[in-house]
Amino acid sequence: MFWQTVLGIWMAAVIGASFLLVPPTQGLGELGRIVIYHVPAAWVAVLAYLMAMANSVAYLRKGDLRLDRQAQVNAELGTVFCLLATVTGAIWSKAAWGWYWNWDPRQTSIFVLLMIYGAYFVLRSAIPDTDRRARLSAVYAILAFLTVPFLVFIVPRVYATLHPDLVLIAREGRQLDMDVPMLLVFLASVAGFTGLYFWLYKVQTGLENLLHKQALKRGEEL
Amino acid sequence: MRTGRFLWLKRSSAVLQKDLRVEFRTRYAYSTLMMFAVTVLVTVSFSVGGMMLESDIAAALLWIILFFSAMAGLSRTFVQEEESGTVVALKLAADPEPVYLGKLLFNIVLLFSLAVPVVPLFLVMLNLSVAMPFSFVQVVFLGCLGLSGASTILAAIVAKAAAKGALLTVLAFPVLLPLLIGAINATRSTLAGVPAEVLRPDLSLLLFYNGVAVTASLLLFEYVWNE
Amino acid sequence: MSDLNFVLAVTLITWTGLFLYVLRVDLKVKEAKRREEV
Repeated sequence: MFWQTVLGIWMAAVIGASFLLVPPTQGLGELGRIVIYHVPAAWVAVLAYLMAMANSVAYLRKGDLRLDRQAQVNAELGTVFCLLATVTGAIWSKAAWGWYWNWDPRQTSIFVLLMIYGAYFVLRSAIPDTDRRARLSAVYAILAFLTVPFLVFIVPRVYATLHPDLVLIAREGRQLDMDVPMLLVFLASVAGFTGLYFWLYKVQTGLENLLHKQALKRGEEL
Repeated sequence: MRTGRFLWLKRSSAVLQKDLRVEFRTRYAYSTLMMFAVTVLVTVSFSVGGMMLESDIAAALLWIILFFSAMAGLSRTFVQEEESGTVVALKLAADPEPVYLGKLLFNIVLLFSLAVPVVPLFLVMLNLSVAMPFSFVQVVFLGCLGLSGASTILAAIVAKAAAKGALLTVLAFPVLLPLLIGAINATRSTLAGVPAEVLRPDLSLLLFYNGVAVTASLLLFEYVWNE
Repeated sequence: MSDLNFVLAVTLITWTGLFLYVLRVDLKVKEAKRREEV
C-alpha cells in the first residue's frame, strides 16, 4: 500500500506542476505542456512492447507458460499507453497543424503498432488451446515487430514530400532542453509513468497467474 | 551435414510438386484467387469509369487489388492440409524447413500466375501507360515475392486457429504494410517515370524486406509447425 | 486561452483513460479473489 500512495501523490504533484510550475514555452505557448503527458505515455508504450517482444522470444526458447502470460500483460499495457499517446498526440496535432490526423510518419508508425497488437489479440482470441496460443502468438509478435524498423525507413520516403509540416515535429524534441523547471517536471512525469507501468504490470501478472491457478484447480483448460 | 542444403532443396521441391499436383486436381485455390482478383479489378474499373487516373491513385489501386487477392488465396495450402488431415503425414515425411520452403514456392507460383494476367488487364482497363516498363515488371515481381514471402508463415498460423476466414488479412496487414507502402511508392515512380537512381533505394528496400521476411520465417516456422 | 483548453483536454483524457483501465484491473482482481474464497 505504501508505494501506491507514494505513486498517487507523485502523479498528483506532476499534474499540478504541469500547470503551475511549467511556463508557457516559446513557439508553442500553452501547448508545450502536453509533452509532459504525451512523451512519457509513448515511452512506456515502447517499453512495454519491447518487454512483450523479449517475453515472446524467451517463451519460444524456454516454453514456460508464465512467460506467455507476461507477454500478454505487456502487450495489453503497451496498447493502453499507446492509445493514450495516440489520442493525446492527435489532439496536439489538431492544435499545432489543424488536423487531428494527417499520416505524419510518427502517426503512421504508432498506428501500425496499434494494428500489430490489435491483430495479436485477435489471434489470441482465435486459438482455444493454451500451448498452441502461446506459441503461435509469440511467433506472430516477433514477426510483426521485425517490420517496424522498415517503417522507420520507408514511411518518411513517401510522406515527407506530402507534409512539409514535418519541421514542427522537430520542435517537440527541441523543447526538452528549454528550461530547467520544465525539464524537471518532465523527468518526474517519465519516472511516474514508468512507476505506474511497473505497478500495473505487477498487479496484472499476479492476476493472470491467479486466474491460471484457479482454472487448473477447476481442472479445465484455460 | 555436407549434403544438408542439397537435401533441403530436393525435399522442398518434392513438397512443391505435391502441392501443385493437389492444386491441379481441383484448381480450387487458383480459381478462387483469379475470380476474386477479376471481381475486384472490374469493380475498381467500373467505379472509376472513364476517368484518367493519376499514377499515385493507380499504383495504390493495383496494390490494393493484389493484396486482397493474395489474402483470399494464400492461406489455402495450409488450411487444406489441416482440413484433409494430411498434416500428420507431412510432419512425419519432412522437416519443418523444407515444408516451409515448398509451401513458399507454391505460393509464389500461385501469385505469379495470378499477376501475369491481372496486371496487364489492370493497365488495359484503366487505360494506363507505363513510363518504365522494365522497372515496373521488377517492382511487381519483387512485390509479389514479398507478399507470398511474408504471408506463408502467417498462413500456417491461421490454419491452426479457430476462425480462419478473415484472420489472414488482419494478421498480414501490419506485417505487409512496409512492403505495400514501398511497392506503391515504387510503382508510382515507374508509372510516372523517374531517373533510375531515384528508384534504386526503393527496389533494394523491397529486396531487403524479402530477405528479412524469408529468413525470419525459416527460423520461426519450426515453432508453428511442430506441436 | 483555447490553447489551455486543449492542454486540459489532453490531461483529462490521459488520466481518465488510465483511471478506467486501473478500475477494470481492480474489478478483475476483486472478482478473482472472491472466487478464491468460495
